[in-house]
Amino acid sequence: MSARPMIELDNVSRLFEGVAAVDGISLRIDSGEICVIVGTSGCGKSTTLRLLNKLIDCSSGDIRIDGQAIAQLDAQRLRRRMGYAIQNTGLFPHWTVARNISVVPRLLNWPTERIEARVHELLELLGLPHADFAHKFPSQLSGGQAQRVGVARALAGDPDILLMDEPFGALDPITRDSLQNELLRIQSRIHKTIVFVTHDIDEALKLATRIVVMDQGRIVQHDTPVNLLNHPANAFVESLLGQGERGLKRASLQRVAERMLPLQGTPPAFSVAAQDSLRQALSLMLWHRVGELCVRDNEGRAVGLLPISALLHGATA
Amino acid sequence: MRLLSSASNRVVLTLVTLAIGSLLLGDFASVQANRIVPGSGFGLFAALGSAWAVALLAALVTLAALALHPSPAGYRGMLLLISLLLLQWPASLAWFIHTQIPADQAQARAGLATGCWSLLFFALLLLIEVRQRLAPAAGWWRLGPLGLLLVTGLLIYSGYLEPLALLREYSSRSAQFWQALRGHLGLVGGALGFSLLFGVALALLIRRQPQLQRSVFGVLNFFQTIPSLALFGLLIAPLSYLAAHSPLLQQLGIRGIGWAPALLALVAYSLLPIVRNTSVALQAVAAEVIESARGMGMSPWQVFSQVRLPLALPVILEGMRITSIQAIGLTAVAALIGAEGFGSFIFQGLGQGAMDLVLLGALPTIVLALLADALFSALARYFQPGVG
Repeated sequence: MSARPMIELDNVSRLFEGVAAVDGISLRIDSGEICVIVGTSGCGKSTTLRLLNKLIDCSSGDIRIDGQAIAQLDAQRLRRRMGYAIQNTGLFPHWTVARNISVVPRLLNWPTERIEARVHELLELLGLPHADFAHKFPSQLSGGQAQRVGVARALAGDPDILLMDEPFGALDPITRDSLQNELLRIQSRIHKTIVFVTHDIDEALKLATRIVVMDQGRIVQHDTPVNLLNHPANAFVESLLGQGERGLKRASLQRVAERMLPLQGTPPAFSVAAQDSLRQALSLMLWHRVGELCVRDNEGRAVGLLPISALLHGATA
Repeated sequence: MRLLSSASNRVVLTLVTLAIGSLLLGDFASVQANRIVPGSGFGLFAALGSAWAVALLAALVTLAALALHPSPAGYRGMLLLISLLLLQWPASLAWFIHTQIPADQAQARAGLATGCWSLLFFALLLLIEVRQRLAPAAGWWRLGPLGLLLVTGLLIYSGYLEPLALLREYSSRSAQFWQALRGHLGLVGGALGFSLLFGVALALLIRRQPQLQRSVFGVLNFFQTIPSLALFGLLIAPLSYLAAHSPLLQQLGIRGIGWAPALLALVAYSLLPIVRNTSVALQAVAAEVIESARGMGMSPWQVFSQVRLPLALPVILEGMRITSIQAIGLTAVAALIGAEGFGSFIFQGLGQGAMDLVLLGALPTIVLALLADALFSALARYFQPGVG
């Protein structure tokens, strides 16, 4: 592995009144990964996240961030180096959007001009025009807008690591979906190391480079989304994935471009985009009752053919 | 068409009826030859003359007529009439004095009677009612009360209202009046300052040591149940004893009577609203807001001073509002144990049967309470989070 380990947990436990919420977990998260910790309520996933920025201290074990043991680091300085976004945003209701975003840069004593430029940049990055939003108060925002501000605030100090605790959990499905896409778009530009906690397996499959499945304070499986679907470690992971939906979930992780065949003869009447998922392609076939689709690129040019057999065969990861 | 339709504004109709009734049935004003002799009352027509009285009644009847089938234009008309009623009120008093009190009688004085007070009272209630109906655009409802204050001020300044009994009492005691104001404000301000200091400290202590909460609130609640006079009285003996045995306390001016027991009692009463509001407000700040403040890397002091305290401030100010109004009222009572303030006029007036002297103490006390209410309400609104 060439990637640099950014976060390492070594046999970490956390007891609450004698009961282990986190029970001897070891984990390595590489730089630039989106590591999604998924599990049912009370499985210890939020506790694990809060151990990373020392909102909770470990009972035993070591955590290293970028090679440094956090036990030796000052908690406040450590937190200023990590973005933190939580469910229900935790925005400060008495401050404007701009003031909320500038919290960490102010704590880091950035010069005023740099803070203003950063706020401007982040609002534009999150699709919130500065002129419209900078001076609003959190109570004047919709749920989706508030969570965008929450993400912008987490990114403000330009941290290497972003910790996100069910940040989209309280949003409606459509807003959640668009914010997930937004996060992937932003990550493709900024390449942070993101640790993301959720109970939603679909969110995990969509966002993660690797997924950590936790149950009763232990790590059950740590693998890529495709491997998780293909080789669930035990019955708990299988049930989390939802038995009847596994095929569709795997199909939604693969692009049409990976399976298409060279175009021959007249293109079929119905088309699918090359970057769409196999799940979308299958849905189109079912809807139009056809066995093959024409694959088109971003400019709308016919670039390939997708017969239904390509969905069934083709390389499985 | 029925006279009284369901759309009629019954509040306005009732208030106008009451105003007309009290103008016609009671005395409007009275005249005393000097401070001692009983005064003689004047009805509306006798006091103001037919022309003024008829105009006044006509304005009230028109108001009622407009209220039978109110429309937006009708309400604007009502507001105009109410503003005129308020503006003519001090003028009518000046007119009454001008016609009924000869200029050469330096001892003669005019008193306000039922009609005069009720007219002012009902006109202000009418203003409140009509203003609500006109919301939100009619900012000019303020013209009436502001004009009332302005005209009254001008008439007092120019000497036209000089023979009013209230002003006669004031002019023979103007030095005492300002002294009383200073004393009153000093006691209230001192009580507010000390109780804020101790109250916030107690609230913070309760946050640290939740097991103390029950006993702290138990003691503070106990203070609230003691009648104010009893508490003032109870403090006299121990303070006298302490002062008698401590030259330092004597030098500070602490005695069994006067400002010292009054201040102690006021602080005791003021602590409960301050401690209760402060501790509730500090606890009520949303957990996720505190969590994210810590997660951002704020120090405990920064979490408190930048997040918890500002978010709690409106509720703390509400506690200070209650405290200040309560203290303003109690300070008047504290005159009984020799504390300075408007209470001394009230109790002197009661003792001498001079109601105008009572008013000289009571009216400024009420005005102070209203001002404190307005001030702290405005501050709480200003610090309300997230209102831009």
